[in-house]
Amino acid sequence: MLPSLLDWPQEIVQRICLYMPPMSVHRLSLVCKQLRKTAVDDERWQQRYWNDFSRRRSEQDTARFLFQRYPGANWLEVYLRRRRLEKSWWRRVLRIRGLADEVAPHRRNLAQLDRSRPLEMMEPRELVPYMNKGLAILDDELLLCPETGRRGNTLVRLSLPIKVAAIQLVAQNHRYIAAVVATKDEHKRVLCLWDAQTVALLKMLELDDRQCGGCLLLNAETM
Amino acid sequence: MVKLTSSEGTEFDVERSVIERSLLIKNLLDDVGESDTCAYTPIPLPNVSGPILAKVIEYCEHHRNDPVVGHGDADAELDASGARVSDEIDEWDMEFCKVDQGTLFEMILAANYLDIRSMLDLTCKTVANMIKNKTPEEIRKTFNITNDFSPEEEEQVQRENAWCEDR
Repeated sequence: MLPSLLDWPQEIVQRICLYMPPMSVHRLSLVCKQLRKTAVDDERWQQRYWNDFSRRRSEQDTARFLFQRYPGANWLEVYLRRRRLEKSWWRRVLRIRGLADEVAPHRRNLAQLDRSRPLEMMEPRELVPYMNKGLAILDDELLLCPETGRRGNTLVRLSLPIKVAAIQLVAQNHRYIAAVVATKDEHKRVLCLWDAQTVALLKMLELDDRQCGGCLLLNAETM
Repeated sequence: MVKLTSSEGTEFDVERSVIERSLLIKNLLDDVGESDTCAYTPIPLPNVSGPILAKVIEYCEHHRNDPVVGHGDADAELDASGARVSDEIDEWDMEFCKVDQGTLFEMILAANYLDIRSMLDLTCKTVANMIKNKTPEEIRKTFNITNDFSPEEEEQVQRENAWCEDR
């Protein structure tokens, strides 16, 4: 029997992880608390899966990646709790974050954040503070990368089966900052996301038809 | 020739060009210079036992003509995603690593201590292959690890894992 892996130098365990496929590393992280920390706390490991993810296209892989990238987050519990509440978690999240008043049902409302000028008059970079502030709705043509100011910097495209035709995610420094939700009626919305965890929540809710309707219809119609 | 002394005091004579696969020893010899001192003064390796040192020398002799992988090349095997390009092990290396698990662990520590990057990679690959496709419970048994998750935490983690694998 091998001496316990817990006695091995941490850098060796992390080196071993480099030779294992993602699921094996994830299983190793489930063995005990210490190994969980060692296996998934390595910056290079996280970078590896981030890069891995960015090359992927399928929805299934995306959901799996997000789960693997944040195994410590209790996504399932979050999902079940939201489901028990049977209410739109979007509203609650917004209320908790004090953003409810800033969510605009129409781009006009966003423009009102800046009383002096309409949205159409703003340069792409000027929109960044609004995007970072919380949830906003913009037209698709205003999708931009805050880092470069260029439009249409789409990292990943996801195909969703119900209500929503596609989500485009925009990343900055390995963090999602925005998503474009295109509904089947061809209306497009830009959602600013706080981080990848929000995307993961959205993805998990999408697994449930009822919640999916609640969540994504809210994006398309209620807001 | 270079004389090495294991933790028990066993002495090994080995060609300098062979043992210089160990960056630790290479740097040591470089510091000493070209004098004959090293031929007569054994280099003590208190962290490496005799049988393990013999394995290390066997490895170095077989790979004596391979290019030495140093610190700067540590990530040479990584692809753009940071994952290892290949986890293949050639036939001789595979036979070399067919040892009991305790010995394999000591070989990893020795390769790490002596800074023999290629041997460290080989032994880590071997352990990775042992872990691959094992369930958490099987890994616990293999590596003598106690599960310190509470029942609630374990159930939660298992559910997370099940969700992950089902997808």
